[in-house]
Amino acid sequence: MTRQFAISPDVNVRNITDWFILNTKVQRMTGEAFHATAYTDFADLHAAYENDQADLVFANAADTAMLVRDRGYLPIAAPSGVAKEASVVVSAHGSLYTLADLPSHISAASTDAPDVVRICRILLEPANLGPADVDVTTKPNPVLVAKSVMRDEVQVGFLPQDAFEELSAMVRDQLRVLIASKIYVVRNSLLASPAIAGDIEAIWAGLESMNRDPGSAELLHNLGAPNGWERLSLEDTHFMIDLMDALSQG
Amino acid sequence: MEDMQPRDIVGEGREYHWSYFDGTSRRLIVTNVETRFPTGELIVSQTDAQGIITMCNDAFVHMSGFSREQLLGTPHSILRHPDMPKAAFADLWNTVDEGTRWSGYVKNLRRDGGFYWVYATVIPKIRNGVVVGHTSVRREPSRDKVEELAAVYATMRAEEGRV
Repeated sequence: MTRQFAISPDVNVRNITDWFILNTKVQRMTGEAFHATAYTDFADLHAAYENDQADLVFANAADTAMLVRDRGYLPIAAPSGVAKEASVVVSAHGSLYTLADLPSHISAASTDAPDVVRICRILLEPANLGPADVDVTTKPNPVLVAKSVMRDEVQVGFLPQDAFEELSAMVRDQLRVLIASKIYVVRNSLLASPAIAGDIEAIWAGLESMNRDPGSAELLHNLGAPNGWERLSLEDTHFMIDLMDALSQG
Repeated sequence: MEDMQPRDIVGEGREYHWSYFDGTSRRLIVTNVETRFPTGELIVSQTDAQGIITMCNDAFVHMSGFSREQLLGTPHSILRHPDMPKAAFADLWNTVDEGTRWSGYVKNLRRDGGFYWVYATVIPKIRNGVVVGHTSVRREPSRDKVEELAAVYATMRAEEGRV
């Protein structure tokens, strides 16, 4: 039976090809057929989870918590020394320079990445902005989040740090980072569904082999794992679950 | 826990003889020097079921003023500031003992006698259905809330017979 490799919207769209290359490698690692699907929004990805169409997924921290706790997914690996950070951005031409400049109710644009929304909402808490004080409009991708801010359609934008850095210089110059996270402990992880639990060791052995192979350096960089992969334990994912629980507002 | 030492204190300190829930006690030296929470960061730590610190991140080390080696294996109550009312911690432990998350504003004590305010969330660390400890995540508090809670805690301390 063909297994499903779900490529999350978390990955950089410019590197989709690299994820298909990883899918080919996973097939060699396991000797099994994997079909890769690149999802462009989280609603489709979450539908794939519901429909058992995601045997292998590189999940963000919020999805990792849900998949491990509620659906019995198992951890394989995470990019070594790479954390997921997020920024709240404003228009560079506007009058917002610090959190203290924000009014008591604001509008925000974001993609539907649940971990980024959660982190950015927390970054706004010191300004007395609780869940009910921030109206978030979902945009299909980070570029449209940026444009929404630049056109003054919203007061702030929520962006993953890597997506902000990858915006064109022309777009970045029209934005200002109001506040950025430096959390260091939130990260994406490669997870396996219970249906392919028997493939986990073969996949890990293959990832370890990539770590040692100088020829894989560019691929690892493009996959967001420039320092290679590190083994993820079940306790690591339980910690991520606890962390995401603690960071939920309510 | 060891007594706080005058040589570690930065600023003018006042002394307390502080008794903990487990019957131990220690000398505290407290100053009015505040260290503000580092913007954008989180303080993360885990304890075992006895409240002993088993994991802490760099922000925890930086804000507490202790070294990581000093923190690991030490009761989390080493951070307890005498300005915190006992009732606040009773509420915390009653809540997490029921397996529920607790959130609140906490004034923590630094090794140098100073303090820092946090908005803390404590959740039980449940593994295989058993509470084996707690995970605590502290984030930057709103200054308005800090001022509000400082006044509330002062009232609560007075009701506990402490000034």
